[in-house]
Amino acid sequence: MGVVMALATVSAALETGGAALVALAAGALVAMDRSGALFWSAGVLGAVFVSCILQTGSNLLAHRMAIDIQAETRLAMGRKLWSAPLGAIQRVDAAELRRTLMEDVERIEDGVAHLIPDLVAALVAPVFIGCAMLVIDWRLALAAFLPVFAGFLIFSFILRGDGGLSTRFVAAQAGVDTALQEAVSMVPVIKAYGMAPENLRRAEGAFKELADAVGRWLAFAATGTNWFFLATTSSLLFVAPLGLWLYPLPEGIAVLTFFMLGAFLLSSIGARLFGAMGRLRIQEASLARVDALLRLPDLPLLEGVAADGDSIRFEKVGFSYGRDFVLENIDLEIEAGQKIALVGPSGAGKSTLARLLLRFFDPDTGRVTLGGRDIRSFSQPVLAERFAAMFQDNFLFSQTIRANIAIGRPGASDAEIAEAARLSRADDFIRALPAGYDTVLHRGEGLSGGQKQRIAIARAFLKNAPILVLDEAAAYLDPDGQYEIQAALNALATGRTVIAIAHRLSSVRHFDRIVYLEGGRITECGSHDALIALDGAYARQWRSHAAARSFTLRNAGTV
Amino acid sequence: MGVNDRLPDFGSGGDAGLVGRMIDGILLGAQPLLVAFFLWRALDADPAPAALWCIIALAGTAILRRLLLWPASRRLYALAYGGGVRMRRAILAHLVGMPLGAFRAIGGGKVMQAVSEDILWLENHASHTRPEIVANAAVLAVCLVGAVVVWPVTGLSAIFGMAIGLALLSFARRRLAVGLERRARSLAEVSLVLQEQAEGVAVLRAFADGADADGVFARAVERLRDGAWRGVRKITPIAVLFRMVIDLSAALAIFLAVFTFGDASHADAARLAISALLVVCATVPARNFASLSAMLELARIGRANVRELLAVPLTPTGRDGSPEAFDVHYENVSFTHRGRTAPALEDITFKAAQGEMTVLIGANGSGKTTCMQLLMRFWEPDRGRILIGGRDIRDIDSRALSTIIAPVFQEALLFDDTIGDNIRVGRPSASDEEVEAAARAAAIHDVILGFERGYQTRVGALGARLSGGERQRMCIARAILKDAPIVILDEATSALDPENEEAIQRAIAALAAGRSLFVIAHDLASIVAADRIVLLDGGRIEASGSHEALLVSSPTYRRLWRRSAEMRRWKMAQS
Repeated sequence: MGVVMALATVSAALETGGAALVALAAGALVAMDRSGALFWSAGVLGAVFVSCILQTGSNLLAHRMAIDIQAETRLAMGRKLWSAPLGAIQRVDAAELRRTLMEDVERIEDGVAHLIPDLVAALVAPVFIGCAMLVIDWRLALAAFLPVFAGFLIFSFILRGDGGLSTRFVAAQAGVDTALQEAVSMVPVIKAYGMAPENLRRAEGAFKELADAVGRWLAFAATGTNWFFLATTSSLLFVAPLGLWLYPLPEGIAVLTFFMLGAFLLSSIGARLFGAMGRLRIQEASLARVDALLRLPDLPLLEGVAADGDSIRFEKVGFSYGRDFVLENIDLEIEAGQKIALVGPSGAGKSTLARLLLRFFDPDTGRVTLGGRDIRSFSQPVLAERFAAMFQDNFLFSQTIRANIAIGRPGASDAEIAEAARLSRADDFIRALPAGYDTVLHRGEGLSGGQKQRIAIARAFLKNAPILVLDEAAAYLDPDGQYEIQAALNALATGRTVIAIAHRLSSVRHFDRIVYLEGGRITECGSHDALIALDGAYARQWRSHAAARSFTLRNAGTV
Repeated sequence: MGVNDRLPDFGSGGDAGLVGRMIDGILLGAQPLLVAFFLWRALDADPAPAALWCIIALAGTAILRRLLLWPASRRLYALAYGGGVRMRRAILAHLVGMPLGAFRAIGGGKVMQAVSEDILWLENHASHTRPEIVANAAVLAVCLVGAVVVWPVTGLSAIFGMAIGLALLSFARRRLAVGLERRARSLAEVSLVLQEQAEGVAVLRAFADGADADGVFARAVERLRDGAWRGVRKITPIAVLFRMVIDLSAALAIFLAVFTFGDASHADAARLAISALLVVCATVPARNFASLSAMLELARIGRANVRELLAVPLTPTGRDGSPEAFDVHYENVSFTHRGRTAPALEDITFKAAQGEMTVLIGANGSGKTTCMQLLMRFWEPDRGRILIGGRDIRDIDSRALSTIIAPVFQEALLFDDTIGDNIRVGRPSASDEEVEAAARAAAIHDVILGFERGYQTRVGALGARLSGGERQRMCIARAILKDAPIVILDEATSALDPENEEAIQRAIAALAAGRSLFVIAHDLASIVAADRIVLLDGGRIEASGSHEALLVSSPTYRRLWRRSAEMRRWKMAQS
């Protein structure tokens, strides 16, 4: 960075030097010294040439650095994606994550490669001009800088005294974006209900707010901005008359020319700094998002004792994340090979409990053990080996189907991959595709939800982990392919410990144990029959479920 | 809001603002010119009056600029942001007015790009880039023309040199645009890899051996690094070359003038010096054209994107009012999605009498949803027609059509507004009592009263406290309030919500009562009471009839029925 700044500084100095050389040439001309004039004007050519070469160098260097910083930032983000709690990463919206990784990091280039050299040049050039002016004549120097100082006083006044107007303006622009985003996602409803676009209150409100903010901003800041521009471009107004007064011609031509040029160069600095400020603000927002991601804490790795088997224990586990998803005082023991269902109303903590087991988060209090060993003492790959997870969102990469299944066990043979696909009931439809296992998926496009699900199940088959954590909703992801998914999941569950988040009670009634959660606590726990005998919340839910199963839709009735 | 088939203007009144900025530029350029003039005058005369006149002239330009700049910039900003809002509104209206199919084909990402980023660049263009170009061009012209008048050799050679520079820039801009596009396309693939590695990290962490064990992420980053560096090597020399040409043309002009300067008078020497001053001054505005031309390019891309959106034709609306009867008749309807060869629907003919219940079943991609979307005019059939009450739906006014159909989609779409207002979308004129009655019928009233602010609670503020089933019931309440004669349920019961299964069913039963009902369903057991079940296969009707009739006549239906029963009895993890 130092080299870049040094080059930019030297280049700015040469610009001042160029003005001085032009002034000297003018002086020589008026003094009728033709060879002197030629000498100095050749000097101008030389200065410009050298300045341009330095600029090229500093420019390329700055870009090189910017590009390297971008790459390092992305690599650091990549590492963070692995070391931070998965739950914390998943709380960041996928689109947001993509934007940070791509666009926000992309912006660093403008910051490092353009903004910093620009700012250096815009700040250093006036210093050089000012020094040269002071050496020549302090009175004229004062005259040249007076309006510039005034301009920056006005500017700091705008920045400080706008009473949050510029913040409000930025917020109003963001509000318009959010409102439009919502409107775009709601288009089916807007159309189906014949809503007039002008009745979209959120969008209209955001438009009004923006118009209002702009109006107020114009009334206040634009006036200040105009004063700023007028002041910073008015150096000549002060320098020229005073110079004419102080330096009689023709002898004074060299000094006058230098001050005129200097004053004109100063006039462009205001606009340059002003532009840089705006870009700086955009940079700030981008860097803040990058920083927030990189600041996520890493999952710690504790000292471990030897693990023994695959039994799972939740010991006095408590966890909270903001206001939502709270678990309190969870004690639960799951023997290897058992089938456990987590049931309860939405928001009761079923998914959080399952995610703590997979170490998406670490508990705030208590601990989770696997084979008697705290799961925080397992390295990530070793812990991951013990579990297969089946949720609703099964991410498929834009690679071949073969590669997507092989993620389950890198290095698996084609025969093993095909066997896994057969077990997950995916083999038939994959073979029916024109390119078979070599079909390249574009984010899973062209496959039904059920087909994608079965590819994900094939992955889990290939992995062959002893514990299956599964959201039952995964079985209903695709109503059309439901039958095949259900069969595939049943095959996958065979011979493994199963921990299922259950929604349709009838599908888990035969489980070894049903854990009923409510408000983040385990309120009932036991076999289906035991819980029915208890006649509590589970029994009530079971009765409601049974009634729902015999529902027949009819439209013949009273209006 | 009328039909917008062209780019909404940022307002022709902007021209006055631009003229203001141009005159301001001329005045700014006039400053060195005036100074030059007085320098020259002071050469042979007493400097005191020259200095005085100089003060008067410069102060005059400053006052004129003060008078011009304020209204000009105010006008430009007001027009830029006013125009931006108008344009967003126009795009929104256009999105709502175009067939939903066309809207889906564009994709939400592209739409958001247009309404946010592209319009920002257009606003920036109107408020900043365009006036800056005008103002800089004015300063440049005044300085150079002044130089020509004062000393032609200097002025003309500077003009020649700078013209080469600007020509280079406009040539480079086109080349740059093409190059940037090509680079963006080649990098899109790499960034896709990177994005997927980020979004799919849950899968990777569950399966892979360690952080980026096979180096996919690192390789993608390296390719991005190389691509960016290649781009810089292509672009930077042009930017630097431009600046070099501009600066060198001023320096060369001065050198040439001095070189060709014979044994002329004192006054001539002063004139040459003044012309030198002017051409150096001209480099300041000339340099600015590099960044201005980049912004011009971004605005051009933005305009093209917005224009492309607004070029999508709107759904033509009919003139007839609402029909009196509500029997629905599909007559030989065929439809193929744009860009596909296989038809989505082929020769669909069926009739649903008013008050009947029709159920569409079939595998993924068999055309069930498309068939219902055609009834709502989300798409237009290629052949055949759909009649409601004997009237072609294309002849019915689109507002009237939307009032007679109440759909409930698979996805529970709610505005981030209060619960009350979300329900009221069904009928904006409804009273509070009517909204409440609809909520009660949809079995959601008690849930709403459980929130601290009741019907005034904002949906967004509830976040995860609102289950999928509860959201769906709010959508059903909305449809109930609409009180339309035709109801469409697209997988509306698929929301998984154990404790609310029964409540959703009650809500749907309330909505369905007494209306013409169209249902897309999978759980065959719940729809056995349908008047007609239409079994679709690959866009064609394979069989159609009542449950009992199909059990007898259709082997496919029999198979589906058996499977459906098995699915209902499914026990997880039982082999």
